[in-house]
Amino acid sequence: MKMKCPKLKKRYDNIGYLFVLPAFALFMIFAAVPACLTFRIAFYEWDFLSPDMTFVGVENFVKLFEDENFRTVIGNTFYFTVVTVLAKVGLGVILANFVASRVRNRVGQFVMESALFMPIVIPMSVVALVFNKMYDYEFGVLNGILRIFGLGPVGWLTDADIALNSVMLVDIFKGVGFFFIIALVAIRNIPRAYYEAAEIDGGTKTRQFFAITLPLIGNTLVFLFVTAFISSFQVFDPIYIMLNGMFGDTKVTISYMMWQQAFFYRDVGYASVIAIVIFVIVLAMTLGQFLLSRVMVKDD
Amino acid sequence: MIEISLKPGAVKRAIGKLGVFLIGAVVCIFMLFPFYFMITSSFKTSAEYMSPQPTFFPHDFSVFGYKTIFAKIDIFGRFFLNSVYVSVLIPLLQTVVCLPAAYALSRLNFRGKNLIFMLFVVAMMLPGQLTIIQNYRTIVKLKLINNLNSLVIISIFSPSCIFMMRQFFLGLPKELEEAGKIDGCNTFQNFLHIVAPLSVPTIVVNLILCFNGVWGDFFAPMIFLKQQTAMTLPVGLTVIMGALSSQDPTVLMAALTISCIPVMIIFFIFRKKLISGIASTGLKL
Amino acid sequence: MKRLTKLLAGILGFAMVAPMGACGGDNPIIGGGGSKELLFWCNAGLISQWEERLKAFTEETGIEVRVEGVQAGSWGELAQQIATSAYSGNLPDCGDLATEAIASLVASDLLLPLDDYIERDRAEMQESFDQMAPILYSAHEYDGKMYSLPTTWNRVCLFYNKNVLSEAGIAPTDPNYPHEGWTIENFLYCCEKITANNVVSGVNNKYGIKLQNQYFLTIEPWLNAYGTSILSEDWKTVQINDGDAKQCFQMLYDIMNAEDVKHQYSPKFGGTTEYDLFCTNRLGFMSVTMEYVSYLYNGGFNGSANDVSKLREGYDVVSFPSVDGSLHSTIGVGACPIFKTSENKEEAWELAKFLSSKKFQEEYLTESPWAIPSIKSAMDILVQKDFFPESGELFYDALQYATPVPAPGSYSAIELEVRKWFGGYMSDTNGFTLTGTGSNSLDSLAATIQQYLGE
Repeated sequence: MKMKCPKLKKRYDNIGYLFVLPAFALFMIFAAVPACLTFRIAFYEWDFLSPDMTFVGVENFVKLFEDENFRTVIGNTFYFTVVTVLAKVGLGVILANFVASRVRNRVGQFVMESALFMPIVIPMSVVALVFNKMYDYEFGVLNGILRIFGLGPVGWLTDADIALNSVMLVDIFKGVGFFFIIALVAIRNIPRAYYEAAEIDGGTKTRQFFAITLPLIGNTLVFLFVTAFISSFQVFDPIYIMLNGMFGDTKVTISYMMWQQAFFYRDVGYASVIAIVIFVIVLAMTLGQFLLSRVMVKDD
Repeated sequence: MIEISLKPGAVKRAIGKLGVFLIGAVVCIFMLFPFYFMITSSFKTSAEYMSPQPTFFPHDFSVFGYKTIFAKIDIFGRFFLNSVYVSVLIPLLQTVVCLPAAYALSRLNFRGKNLIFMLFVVAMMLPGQLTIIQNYRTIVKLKLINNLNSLVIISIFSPSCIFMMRQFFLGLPKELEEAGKIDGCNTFQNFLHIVAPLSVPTIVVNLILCFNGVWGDFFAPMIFLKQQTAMTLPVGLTVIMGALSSQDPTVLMAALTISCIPVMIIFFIFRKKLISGIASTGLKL
Repeated sequence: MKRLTKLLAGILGFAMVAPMGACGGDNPIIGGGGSKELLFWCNAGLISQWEERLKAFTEETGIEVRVEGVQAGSWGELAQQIATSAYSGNLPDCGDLATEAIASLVASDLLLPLDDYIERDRAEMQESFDQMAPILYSAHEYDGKMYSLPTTWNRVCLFYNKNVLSEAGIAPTDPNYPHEGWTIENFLYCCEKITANNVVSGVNNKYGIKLQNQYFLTIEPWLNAYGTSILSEDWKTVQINDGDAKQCFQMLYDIMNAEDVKHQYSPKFGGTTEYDLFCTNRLGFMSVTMEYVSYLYNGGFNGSANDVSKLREGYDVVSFPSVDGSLHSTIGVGACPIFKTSENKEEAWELAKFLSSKKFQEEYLTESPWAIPSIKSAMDILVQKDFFPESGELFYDALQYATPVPAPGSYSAIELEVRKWFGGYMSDTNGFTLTGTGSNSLDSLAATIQQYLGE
């Protein structure tokens, strides 16, 4: 039935430019040019208020390397990122496997999917504000529950050693559903035949998970890790809402620091340098994913 | 079905089922508890809320929080309307601008097409922090600070939307347009009358994802909207409601509950669509 | 096919109509527009209160005022936020600001000198000026120019919960009971008694005081108690790292970070507010300003909702203790300065005059006072009120020994540095002490502040 078109000489649809133009113009104005200009501002000292920027060369970059606070912050950021990424992707995949392989009845699947999925659609600010109240040292429900079991109150957000971990829990809570959903769809797309074969061989579910599921969703896993890394690395909302001004800002992450330098201290040049650091790390991760997935495709 | 009759396995199977149920229940409770806490707290009296023994269901059912919200409806209602405005307008305008671009990048031939697409892919990786300073300057120059349209204008271009739509167009058979050409449609008519109607389901998914993203957006609104009358819900709740309700947490809980209603409705109506949308694009909200 | 055309038309239609729908009416676009509506900024937590107060102004003058909140954890942050807003051309006509913020804003050249207005309307205002102490009247005079009239002012003192003290077994006859001219030893004794029972349960149930990371409410008064200050009297040199100051910080660190619950007199920063702790009889002292008289009254503290006399039975106020029993107090003055960019300067000046007037203060500041009136006669009315604490006179009496809060032009930068250091130092769980690294970090803080002050 299918009619093969004869090979036409390559045609050019110049109307295509018109189609792309609005998007491209906005891209230039609000993405490309601003990004490039940030690299320029990084060499200047400016406070938004004064009419002129002062060229200071690499001074802002030097300041970054000498800034003890930055070292603390970047340490916090990597700590935050590594733990939340592992937790989100790990829990997401394990729960997805659990739902796909163990939960047989439809109601159970619906409930699990909905429960895990719901935090995704709720704004982070709402989640953070609710947790803020739940974490309250005196009147928070979490310490209230601990009290029922006779356990001492925990300074969820007031103890310097714990506070960042509490925020990480919020991030994991909000984020795990996304990774769960993607992993679930990936696992459901694995042909049943593989598992049936394994069942005949007598493999346990756990072995099936490691021998079949994980390798077959390998590409998805790489994608999940990178997506998780990028989003965790740029985390801002819960840090701002829950840790704003606490602990002399020694427990915050890099996005918060960038915001603070730019819009609070109005040290715009320095903030630009921090933004560049964020960009470079995000870029490196994305390239890493690209290379890794190519290697994996080759292996297949 | 057959296995159930096998006696030795039956007990083990029952234990296994119980285990599955328990694990599932624990996960669900953990995931749903904060929302349960939010909703029940909004109906408590502040005395009950502050009592040292936590209650899991309001003893003295009180709508004081909601009453306070409605008494301050000029503040809270404004936040809500502002949020509705940006979360409806941005997805629609995004579609208008990005759909043709995605179409051109997938189906039309013109010089520089691949370069433009590459640039858009790079734009997807740009962290918001890298562009925010200059965008802030631009918004100030345009005199759009404290104006909701500042959010609209910087959000219309969405590389992820283009990316998603392009994926979809690439999957459409070429023959459709060839047929259109034979019927005498030009490229534009082809797009408008043949391709665009076919992509409505994908557009809807994109609209929902975008709505959700904008509804919860915090970083840019916090920077552009400093004035109370212009704030969207996430910023307003954090900045104003947090301060106003410092003496009574139930008010904040009521405000938070109300602010979740639109996304919850969308969640329950479009659950399947959202899931497939997220799974097929891998785009984070 | 028609459907999509309709959809597109709908989108465009919405795009054009919606901005009017959502933003229509009262022009939220740019502040300080040409209308006769004044834009008034205050701290976000005080919006409702200010709306209530300014109704009286609108009734009397017919000038509408729109109150908007700015979120800020301190005056320095507020000044910082306003300066950032200035870049976007987004400033109010006037606002509720205090000395600390005004100093910074004057240095940024954002405020309007009011000398001409004052001279012009002096006769009209004379009755009010007569009631103002000179230290208040000239609080915001910089380089010989007046930038505002005082509306209200504040001093920090300790509110003590009588229930908590009596439960801890400290009778009013006890020499350690809070009294004017008491010492830090007395204070620490009270704290120890209050927290003594915590040891039974092993958890913190009661606290002596809740320290806050605040320049005016915590750091400066405690330094005063140790006979020093953040800056020298002329605000030219930094003093925050002298020997007395180090002792002071050591004490503050210890009462917050003691190993055993018995000696944790203060909870950590953040978390439950001191007001909530105080109202639930779990806090002995809170170092706050006079607005809490109203909060406790309106909140029905100690079951006073039906019986006002319960208020006095429940709490009283006392000056800060000090090492030698001498009296100190720093004061900050509130005002309604006018921004240079305002297009409604006359109306804003009307509001400034109104807030500083004898009439307004005697009528409104005596019902639900949010700070100490700058008008003496209003204060005289206030101390007669049954909801006012027994020792309430000490609020105004502070003028006899008060010094203005150290607020040079670079105040907001200095405040940010001080709070940042204090927040980090007080939460350092590595047993931070002031002999080693703590001392060094304080010295480097002092060096940073000195840079802001100039040589």
